[in-house]
Amino acid sequence: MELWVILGIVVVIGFAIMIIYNRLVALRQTRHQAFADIDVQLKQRFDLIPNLLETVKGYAAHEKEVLQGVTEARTSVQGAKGGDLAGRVEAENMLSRAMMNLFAVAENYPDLKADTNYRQFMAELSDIENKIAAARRFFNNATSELNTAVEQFPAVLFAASFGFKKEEFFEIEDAQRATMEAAPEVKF
Amino acid sequence: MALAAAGLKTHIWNNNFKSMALLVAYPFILMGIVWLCFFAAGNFTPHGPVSGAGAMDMPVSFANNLLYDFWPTIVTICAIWFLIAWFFHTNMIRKLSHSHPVTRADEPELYNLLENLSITAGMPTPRLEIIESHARNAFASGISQKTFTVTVTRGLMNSLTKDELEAVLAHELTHIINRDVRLLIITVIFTGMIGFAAQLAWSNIRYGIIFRGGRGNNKGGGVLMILAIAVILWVGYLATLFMRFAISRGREYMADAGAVELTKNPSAMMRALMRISGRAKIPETTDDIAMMCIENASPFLGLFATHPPIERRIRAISDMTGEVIPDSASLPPVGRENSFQTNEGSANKKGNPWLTRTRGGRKKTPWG
Repeated sequence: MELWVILGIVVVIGFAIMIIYNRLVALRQTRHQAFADIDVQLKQRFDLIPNLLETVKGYAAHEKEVLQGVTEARTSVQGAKGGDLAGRVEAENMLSRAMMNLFAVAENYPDLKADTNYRQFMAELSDIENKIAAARRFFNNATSELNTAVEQFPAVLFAASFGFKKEEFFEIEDAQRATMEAAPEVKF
Repeated sequence: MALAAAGLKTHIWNNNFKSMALLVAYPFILMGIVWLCFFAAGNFTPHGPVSGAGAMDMPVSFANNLLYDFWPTIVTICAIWFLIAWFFHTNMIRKLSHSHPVTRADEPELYNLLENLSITAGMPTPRLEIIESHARNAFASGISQKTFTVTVTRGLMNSLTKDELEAVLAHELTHIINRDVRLLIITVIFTGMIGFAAQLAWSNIRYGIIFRGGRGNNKGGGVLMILAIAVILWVGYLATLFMRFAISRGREYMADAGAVELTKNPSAMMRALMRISGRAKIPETTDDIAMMCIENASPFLGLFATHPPIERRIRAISDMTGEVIPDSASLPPVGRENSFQTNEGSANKKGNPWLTRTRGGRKKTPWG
C-alpha cells in the first residue's frame, strides 16, 4: 500500500518536472529566435556601412579619424561574431557610437547632406535602427520571461541542474544612451 | 477581465481549444439539425402519426433510419465545405470585403509600420490589404502563419495620425497573436454552413407542404409550417450562440491591452477608438466581416453585440494604464506631418528605392 502511494507521488512529481522543463525549453528557444531577429537587422546594418563610407569619402575624405573609427568598429563587430553575447553587444554598441560620430561630422558638409545616395543611406539606416530597437524589445521581453521562469518556485530547485540560468539582456549602457540622446557634438 | 500575462496565455489556450472543439463538434451538431428536420418531416408523412402510445415512435425511427442512411453524405459534405473554406477563405474574405492586397512597394510607410510592430511582437509580418472605402475600420483574418492578414480601410489611413494607426495595427496583430482570428474564421465557416442547411431545410419543407397540399391535408401542413419555423429559428439561435461563445467580447479588451503593450502608447489607442467611433460601418460588406472588425456598432440594444461599447473600451484602457482619457472635442488635427501620405504620386517608388527592396526575414527553424 505504502509502496503505491510513494510510487504515485514520484510519478506526479516527475510529471510536474517534465512540464516545467518543457516550458523552460520553449522559453529558451523563443529567446534564441528573438536573437536571430536582431541578428538579421544587425547584419543589414553591417552590410550597408562600406557603401556609406564610400559616399562620405567622396565629400569628406580628410576626416580620417572618424572614418577610421567606423571601419575599426565594423571590424571588431566581425571579430565578436561567434563570441558571447556581452562581447557582441559591446562591439555593436561601439559601432553605433562610431556612426553617431560620423553623422555628427557629416553635419558640416552641406554637399554631403544633399547627396541622394547619402540621404538614401540615412533613410535606410534609421529604418534599420528602428527595427533593431523593435527586435531588441522582443528579445528583452523573451529574456525576462525566461529569467522569471527560471527563478520561480519550484523550477528554481532544479533549473540550474538542467543547465538553465538567468540570461543577459541586450541593452545599451546608460552612458551610451546619454551620448545618443545628447545633441551631436559639432567639430570646427 | 484578466489582463495579466498568464491571463493572455490562458486566453490563447482557450481559443485553440474552442477552435478544436468546434471542428470536432460541428459534424455532430449538423447531424442533430438534420435529424430534427427528418423528424419534422416524419411527423407529417402521408402515413402520419398514429394516436396513442406509439405516437412518437414512428417519426423517431423514420428520422433514425434516414440519418443512418445519410450520415456518410453529411460528413462528406462537411469535410468538403470545410476544405474549400480552409483553402479559399482568403479569396472569399477579399471578395466579401472588397479589399485588395498591397505590398511594400505600394504602401511603404504603412507596411513598414506593420513590419516593425511584427518584429516587436516576434512574429512574421502578416499580409497587408486595403479596402478603398471612406469608412474607418480594420480587421485581421487568416488561419495559418501563411494566411494571416491585416486589412485596413483607406478612410482609416487618411483620418488617423501615425501613432493612432500604429495602435490600430497593433490591435489587429494582437488578435492574430491571440489566435482570435483562427477561431473567428472557423466560426464564420460553420455558421455559414448552418445557414445553408437552414435554407435547404426550409425549401425541403416548403416542397413537402405543396406535396401534401395536393392531398388536402391542410391541418398537417399548418402545424408543419410552425414546426419548420421553429426548427429554423432554433438553427438561427444555435448559430448566434456559437458566435457569442466563440467571440466573447472580452477578446476586444484583450486586443486593446495587447496593442497598448506593443506600442506603449495608450493615448494613441484611445484617440484611435474615438476617431473610429461612429464612422466604422463599411458599406457593401457582410455581417461576417463586420464581426471581425476593430469596431462593430451593434443594433438590437447590444443583444447580439460582438464588440463592447467604445466608451467602455476607452475607459478600460484608461483604468489599466492610468493614462487620462483624451478630450474627444480637441483631438489633434490630422495633417501632413503626422499622418500617412497616400502613395498616389508614387514619389516614394522613384525617390527611395530602399523602401521597396525585399528583405530577408528570420531563418527557418523547426519551430517555425
